[in-house]
Amino acid sequence: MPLLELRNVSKGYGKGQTRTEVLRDMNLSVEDGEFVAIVGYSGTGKTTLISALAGLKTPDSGQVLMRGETVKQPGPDRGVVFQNYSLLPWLTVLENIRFAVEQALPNLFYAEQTAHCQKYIEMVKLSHAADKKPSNLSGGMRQRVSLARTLATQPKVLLMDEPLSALDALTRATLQNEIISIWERDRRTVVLITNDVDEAILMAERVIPLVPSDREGATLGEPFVVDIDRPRTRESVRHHPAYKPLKKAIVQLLLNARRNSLENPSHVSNLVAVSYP
Amino acid sequence: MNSTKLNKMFVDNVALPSIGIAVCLLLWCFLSWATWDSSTSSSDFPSPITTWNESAKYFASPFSHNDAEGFDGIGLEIWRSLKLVGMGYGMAILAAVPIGFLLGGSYRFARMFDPIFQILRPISPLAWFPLAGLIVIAIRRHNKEVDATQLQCIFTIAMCSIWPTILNTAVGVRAIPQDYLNVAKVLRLSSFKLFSRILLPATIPYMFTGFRLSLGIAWLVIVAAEMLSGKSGIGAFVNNQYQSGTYGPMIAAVIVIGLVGFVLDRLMNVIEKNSTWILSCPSLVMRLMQKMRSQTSAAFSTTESVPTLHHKETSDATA
Repeated sequence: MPLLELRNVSKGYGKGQTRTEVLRDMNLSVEDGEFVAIVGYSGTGKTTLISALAGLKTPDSGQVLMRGETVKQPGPDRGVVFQNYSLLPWLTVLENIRFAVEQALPNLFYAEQTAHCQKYIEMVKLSHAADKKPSNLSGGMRQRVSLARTLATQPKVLLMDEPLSALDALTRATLQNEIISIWERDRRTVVLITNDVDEAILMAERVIPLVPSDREGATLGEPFVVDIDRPRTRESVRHHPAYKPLKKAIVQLLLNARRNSLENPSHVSNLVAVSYP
Repeated sequence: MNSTKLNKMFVDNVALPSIGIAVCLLLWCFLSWATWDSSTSSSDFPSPITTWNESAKYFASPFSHNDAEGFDGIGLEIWRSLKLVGMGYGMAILAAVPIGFLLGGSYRFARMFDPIFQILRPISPLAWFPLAGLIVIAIRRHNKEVDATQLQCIFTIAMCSIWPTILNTAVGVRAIPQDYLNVAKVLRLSSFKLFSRILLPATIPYMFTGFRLSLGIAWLVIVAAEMLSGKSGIGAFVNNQYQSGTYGPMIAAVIVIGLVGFVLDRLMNVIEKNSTWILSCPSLVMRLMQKMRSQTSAAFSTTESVPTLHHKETSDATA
């Protein structure tokens, strides 16, 4: 049984004439221990998709299943790493992580909680900043805290919503390496949403394109399997014979989908469909 | 390097403010010179020196009772006013915080009461005063013991100073980023925890801004209310000195009102700056409770819960 599953999920916003479909008929199954990347343009419903997976938003139709059970609400078994870090500014790094740990692992002693948190702070290389407030940290460091917080709650699946897109290129590369090495040790199930094809190929085992459509809502395309051995490094991936054709195929698919959706806007037919639901 | 720093501190904090005060004193002198009345050989508007000479006795023994002209010392009057402000303001913020949370948190509550608040907010303390009097009359029918004037002042202060705290708290609640709420949802916080660990700390900076503005208004209102009631307090002192034609002490009292207001504002500012410490209190309490709970629960069921987690952790680390 897949760990996390989408079955014919659709989601839109608004009513009547102003309604916009965001996700259309999405199917996805993520196996236990798999690293899946979903690649798509900005504004094609990536955040809506991750919210549906997390249970923060309920789909209009279809089902989100976790181990075969319908997801009705968010929970600590599906840890979310938010794009804008979402740290609580009045708590220090340690306190932010402890706040989540208290909630997710309530049976730990106080001292054990501290040790548990410190382990994850060390994992993201922030031990020197454990007692700092988020406002005193750089963007990359904040995202590390956010990652450590989510990892520390020991979720079954890690949902990452463009976690690195707000960072500069160098920080981004460093954090990609760190996430890869953490994953290669940990093999936790990950769903990564990104707009960077390189990032997806570098990190994931399967890359799924999010195919945009102007009014009908985006849907998921056929997955590309990244057949590159682990442990991966930036160089080993770049120089792997499978890398170039894979990247080309994904980029081509996304570009074509975008062009099609712009050339054949389905406004008219869609309006009729909306008026007579 | 160090001496230039000291120099700059001296200029910024002593020299420049002194110049400002000197300019104002000069303007004051000019005003009293311009209002010189040669027939009585005195100014209509007393000069700084006359003011000091006439009012020095109130400062010399600030807590004296009932001097030759029937006035109490300025310190005593200020103390009476501050007590009323404390009570009115305390009532106001105690009521304002929950109302503010409702206003900011509940769409229906906001739809119901926001228009009313917007109408009540600009009502002057001078208009609240007689209204407060009606309530006091009603209370006095049941309990003759209460001091009618004081109660009237307290109600007036409460009604006028409640608005900034209500509105700022509401703004603070509305300004809580969706991200924090998403975190709360993912962690499945109980509603008590959501309130004490997220909503409250996220709103506290706004609340404290409201507290500071409310205190400023409370201090403005007390003077007006006491002038109307005319019985006790610094406002009554100003009014009574004015009525009896002794303008020196009146001006001195007005300056003291300004000084006290300034000190109150500074005090609130210090509290506002340290609100981060204050807002860590609920989490400290929670942590203490959590610590106690984990100890008691551990006493009963150590073998069940903890070792499984240990096991999981070690497997995580070795994998």
